[in-house]
Amino acid sequence: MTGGQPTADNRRAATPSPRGFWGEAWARFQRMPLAMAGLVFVGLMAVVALLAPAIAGTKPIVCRYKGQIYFPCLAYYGRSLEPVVFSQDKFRGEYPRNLREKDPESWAVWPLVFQDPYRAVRPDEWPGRPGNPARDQGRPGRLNLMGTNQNGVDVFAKMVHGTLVALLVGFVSMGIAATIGVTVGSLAGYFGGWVDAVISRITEVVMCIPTLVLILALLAIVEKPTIWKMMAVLGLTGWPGISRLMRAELLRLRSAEFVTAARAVGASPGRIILRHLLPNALAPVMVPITFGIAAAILTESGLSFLGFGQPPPSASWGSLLNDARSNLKMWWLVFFPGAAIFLTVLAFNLVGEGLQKATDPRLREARK
Amino acid sequence: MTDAGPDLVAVSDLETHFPIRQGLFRTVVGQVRAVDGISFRIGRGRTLGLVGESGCGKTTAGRGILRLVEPTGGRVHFDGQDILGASAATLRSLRRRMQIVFQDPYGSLNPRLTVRAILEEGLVIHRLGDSPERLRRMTVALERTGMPTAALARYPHEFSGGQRQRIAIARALVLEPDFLVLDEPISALDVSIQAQVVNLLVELRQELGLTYLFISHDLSIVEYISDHVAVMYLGRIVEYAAAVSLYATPLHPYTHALFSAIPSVEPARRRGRIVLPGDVPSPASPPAGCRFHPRCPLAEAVCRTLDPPPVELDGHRVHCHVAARHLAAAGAAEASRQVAAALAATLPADS
Amino acid sequence: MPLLEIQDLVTAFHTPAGRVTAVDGISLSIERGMTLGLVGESGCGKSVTAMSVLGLVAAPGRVERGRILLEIDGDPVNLATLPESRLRRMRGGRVGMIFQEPMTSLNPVFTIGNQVAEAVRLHRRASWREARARALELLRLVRIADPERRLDEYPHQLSGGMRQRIMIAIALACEPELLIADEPTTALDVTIQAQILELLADLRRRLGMAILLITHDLGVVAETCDEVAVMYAGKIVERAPAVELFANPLHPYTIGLLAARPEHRAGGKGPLAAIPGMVPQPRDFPAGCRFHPRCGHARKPWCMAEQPQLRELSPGHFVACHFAGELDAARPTEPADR
Repeated sequence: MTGGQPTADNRRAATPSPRGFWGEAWARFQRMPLAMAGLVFVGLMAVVALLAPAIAGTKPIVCRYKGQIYFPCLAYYGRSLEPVVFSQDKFRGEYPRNLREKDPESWAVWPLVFQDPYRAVRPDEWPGRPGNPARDQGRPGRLNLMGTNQNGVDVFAKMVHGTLVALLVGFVSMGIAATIGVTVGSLAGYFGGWVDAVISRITEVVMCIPTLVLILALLAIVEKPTIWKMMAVLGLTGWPGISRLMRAELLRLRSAEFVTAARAVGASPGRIILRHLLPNALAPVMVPITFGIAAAILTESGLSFLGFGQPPPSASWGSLLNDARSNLKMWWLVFFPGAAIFLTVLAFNLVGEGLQKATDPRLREARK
Repeated sequence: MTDAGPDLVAVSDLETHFPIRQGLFRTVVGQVRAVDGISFRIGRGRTLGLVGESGCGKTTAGRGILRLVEPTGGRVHFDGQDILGASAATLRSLRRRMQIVFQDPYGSLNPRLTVRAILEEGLVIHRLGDSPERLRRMTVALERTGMPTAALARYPHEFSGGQRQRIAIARALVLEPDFLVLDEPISALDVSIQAQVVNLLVELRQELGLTYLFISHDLSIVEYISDHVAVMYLGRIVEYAAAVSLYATPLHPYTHALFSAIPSVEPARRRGRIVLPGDVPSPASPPAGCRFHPRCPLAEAVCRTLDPPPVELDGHRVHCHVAARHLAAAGAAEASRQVAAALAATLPADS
Repeated sequence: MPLLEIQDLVTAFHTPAGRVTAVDGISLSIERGMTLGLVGESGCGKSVTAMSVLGLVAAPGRVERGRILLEIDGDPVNLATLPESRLRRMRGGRVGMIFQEPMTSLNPVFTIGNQVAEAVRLHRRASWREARARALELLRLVRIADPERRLDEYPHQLSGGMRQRIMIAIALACEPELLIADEPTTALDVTIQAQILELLADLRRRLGMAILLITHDLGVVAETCDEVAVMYAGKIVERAPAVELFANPLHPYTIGLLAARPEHRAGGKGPLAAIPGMVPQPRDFPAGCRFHPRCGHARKPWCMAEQPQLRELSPGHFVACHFAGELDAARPTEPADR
């Protein structure tokens, strides 16, 4: 029984820990210092974005008012999340004094920096503090770490809240683009024939549309250009590149032998696409998606800089650059958002490159 | 018409042509006749070896029987049931009983799935048993192929080529099929591993009563493992016989050339090598008459114009005008000698 | 003095996972006009050896030790220490090389004539016209039919056998004294292989060229080589003239390889005499004799502890085995039942 018996070597089959493809890719990724630095930066950004209201804001993180616990800072995530009682009691957004006056027993936990991204802090809003300076006086100082803009709105608060905007723009728009691109590309690649022909022609048409012009046109038509509409437009125009890549990968993988093996065992086309083709095809597609996030952030900043973004007051890095246009002497309006945009795009690019190297199949040693 | 009987697989005039498209509107300008009319039968528990060189169509034939490639003509019957006309549902259920092992142990296993997921797929698709039962089946299949059950949690890239091929065999076995197409299963393996896997296949055939279609270009292995052998050239079968007969008394000149081309460590086998001129023509434009005639040292006028019909004696079938003549006159052994002598006469003097 | 002499060659790869020694101290010599076969399975280091001769080992691999002496005009030149510019003159000039995959070794965007002529011009002063004439000559030398037409065709228009002939023509462009052929027929059909082997034999006769033939096919070696060296796990385990090796193999691995072929058995249909276990990867070479886990004759403690050195057991026949000569060579290695 020479063939069937497990020999000693067959028993000692493999290395200790079974790592799948992504496990190994992650291990390789960790060995690249620049890529890890990029990832850490993105992670920090995510933390800042999520905790933005707790870092900079004029609304308490948590407070106790008239016997109840409230979280007014949530208003920064959405206006409707502001507890109704505060508007009923005519706080008008000014919490420190009103809380003390209307309920002496109230307490509140305040954000780290008492500044607001949407308006200037008024004198004595925080007892004992002057209001935010305006125009040229708004140099970075103790109260305004990164200075203020012409209207006296604190730049640091805008930067912090702008992080959330940037990340949202990047991830949501690329999320839309990726979903459309992956689906469309897989269908074109797998089915081929007329399905592929039709989809490819559509892809080419969309690709020919100049994104920026389309966005401007759409923003002009729409009454209220919100950040969500911009994200939708970026997503709807950003999918062709991903679709083509998916299509190419699927064309290549379609004739792989393990796909034929799956058919031999009786798998349906749907099962083959979802279970066999997509997991193998996604790795190369992750890379342009990562770069796309950076590109989306750049586009949004660019649009805001030109004045086509959210109408003021908006908390986006690009809008700070827009403020800087009229008065270049206020260097802090250029430096901080510019540095943030630069570092963010750099970080995503480093992560994307790292991902590319980590998932490159040529680096995988083939055992024989 | 059901074709039940001792034959598990019956193939008649199987054809697989691929269209060649050119131009803006992708008009069909020709056909690649990968498989151009082959017929054979495989009895239950028997092994048919299908030999030939690259481009002869043996791989396409093997996949065509399972309809992994759609044949364009002919009939295939599996256990009496028509395969080519079967509906998708019938085909799916029949797929359980006929499985395939591929040549490339690196490409035939999905690198993203664990061995367990790979083996389990067939069972899940055909809803065979619940989770404990599936685990039992997979464990049995792995043990049969000499792999440890610990392999289930691992990924294909953690194994060597020989081990992966065992996993591929286990995948085929887990559905408990009756018929296995083995498409060059050992060609990509190291020489010292090939014998192991061949022994395994022979053992499994014995234990489980399997029927094999063994496709290969390696004549010695095919002789060892097969009951019958069919030699293919350019989409057609040129000779078909019991393995013993084919190797003892080959009839077709191509078969003779194949045998003589094998480099051997034994000096006795090396005399008088027949080196065929030229290359295999393209299956898109096969020569007229006998397909082998442009390269055949014994080609005659009739070979250039007439496709040789099959001539059979005692189960030994050959498609060759010259060999058929000798066969009819003197029987297989003598015919084989005469063809060999005729070929030897065409060799250059210093051979 | 031999044309090529390799002395104690060590080539290792420095990967992130550690140092991997692919060639672990091998010595070979090839005389003028002789064909030496280097046989072994995947991972044994035979291809790396061939690449090391011409300094073609890809990073992170490096020749770490040893001398590669090529006899040039009566003097030995150590290729391992030559600067890259001089080594480049050797490649294709004095030493030609052909590889396994003719499709990927030829540039798909240039015509055949262009590629062969380029090889000529790289090593000699020749105008394009002279080079093209020489290319035509070479195509005839390698027996390509209708060579004038082929000169203007592209690689994808030719069959595998023809492409391999082109590779040989390119390698011969400057009449090298030594041809290194790395698995030249492995990717070819057996009838085409016969053609190529016959061509190589013919060229050898006519040009007096020495050949280092790398392959895993013992049959090919038996038919074409004067001398054979068997490699396993980075080391040479047996070396002998071809006739002697196949008549009288002494190392258990060689015996096992020969015994595992179906045609070896005189009849009867028992199982093939397979060598148990797996070919070890360079990362996991066993201690002691590297073949011992798979060897039916391994005995404690010597085989597990100490690597055997090559010993000359009969004139010209070297074996690296502690018990060579005492084994019953007629009995193939059996599955380990220890």
